[in-house]
Amino acid sequence: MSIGSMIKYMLPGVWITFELVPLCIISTFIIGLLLGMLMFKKTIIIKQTLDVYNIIMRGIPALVVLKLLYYNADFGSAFVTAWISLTLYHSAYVGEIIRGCFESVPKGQMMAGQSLGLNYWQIMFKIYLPQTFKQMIPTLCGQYILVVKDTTLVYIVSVQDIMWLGRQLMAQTFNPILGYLLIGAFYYVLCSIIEFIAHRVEKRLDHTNSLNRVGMRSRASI
Amino acid sequence: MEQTGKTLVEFRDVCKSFNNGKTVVLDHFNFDFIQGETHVICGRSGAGKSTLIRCINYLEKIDSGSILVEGEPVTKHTATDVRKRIAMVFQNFNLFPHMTALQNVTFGPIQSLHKDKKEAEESGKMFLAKVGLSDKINVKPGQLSGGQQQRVAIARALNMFPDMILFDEPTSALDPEMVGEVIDIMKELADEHRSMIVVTHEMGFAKEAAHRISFLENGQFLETADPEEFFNNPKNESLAKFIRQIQTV
Repeated sequence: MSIGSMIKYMLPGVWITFELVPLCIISTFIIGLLLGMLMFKKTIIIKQTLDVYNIIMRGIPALVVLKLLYYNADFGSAFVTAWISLTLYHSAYVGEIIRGCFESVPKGQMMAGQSLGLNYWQIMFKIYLPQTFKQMIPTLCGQYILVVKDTTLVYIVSVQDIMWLGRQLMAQTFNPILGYLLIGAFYYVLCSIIEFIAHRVEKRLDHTNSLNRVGMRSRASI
Repeated sequence: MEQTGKTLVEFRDVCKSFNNGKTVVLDHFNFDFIQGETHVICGRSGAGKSTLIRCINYLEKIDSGSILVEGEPVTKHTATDVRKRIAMVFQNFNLFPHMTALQNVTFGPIQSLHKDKKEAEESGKMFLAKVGLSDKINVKPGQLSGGQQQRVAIARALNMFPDMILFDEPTSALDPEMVGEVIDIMKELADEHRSMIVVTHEMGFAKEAAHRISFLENGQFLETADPEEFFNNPKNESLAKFIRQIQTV
């Protein structure tokens, strides 16, 4: 089979992975942000509950989470099961990254926000998140590359992604080297896209900050 | 706003300690703070001056007793409302570094008091002009000096149109040459009879602008008097020693 035919065979799986990855990235960010904010709040019951969740998710492999949910929960489809499993798994890490960034903000910022009559969530979203978002980007980028790589596991819960189709192809062509090279090339492109986006966002935030430093902001804001 | 004699903040048998009760900062503390008055609190380091004023807006939680603001108890549930009426200026300014001076000043009124942005900006610019920073409205805190940052912090407090302003050692983090510009603003506010509680080591300000000065030690105000009595005729031995010490420096 030619390389072109192999790529054509695996294309449906490429689209599945292209759907799964952005969904996982968005959902882990949303859940991770919420977890990070709840853990930072340090309310004892919530913190203890989330600590247990963190310890479990960070102590077991993503493959185990996938299999446990696949056999014990019914989310309607293998794709949704995979999405929820990877979200639950990686949100623990994203939450810790975000909480760690929040800890770096001087405590006076919380007091200042409280003294103005703001509630906790206003302080988190309007004061803490804008100050820490840029510093989160490199670590989050690393974590999302891990999310991408963990999508290679979803074939074990019958999601017909590129790995699933690739393995089928290898069984037919008896050419695992070429098969895995193609899969590897695809994931390399996907990870590069994520790094590129993260780099652009960081650069954009740097550019905005440097404009502000030299006082070049538009006076239309007056 | 004139001194009305009306009690704005009441402390009723308030106790507060740290380290599981080993460090007592307020010991069955009772006091009334009056509307329209500039009340200076002084005392030795670690006496509990900052803790006292932070208890008023629930940034610190008291162990027992009650604090009333205009007759309403300060609790976990009323804290947000109290904070909308009692503003605070911190020792370390605590401006929001990602916002301009004007955004810092308008943030509270817009987010907390739900004021219209235009209205908040109008009054914000007025207060920034009052503190002498009308040319810095689009500048971020990182590009301001310490004195300028503290003046923005004062404008931020004023733009909440508070019933009272708490000052927690507002000049302690400033280089000596910047202290004057902040003290001048505070003197102006005192002359306007704004209700203020000021924790400070600036005895010059206390002499010139305070209506009453209190000396906090061992969890109590050992003495409260007008500046003349306080500095020239202290009745409490510990206060007399404290005044001698600060006059020697």
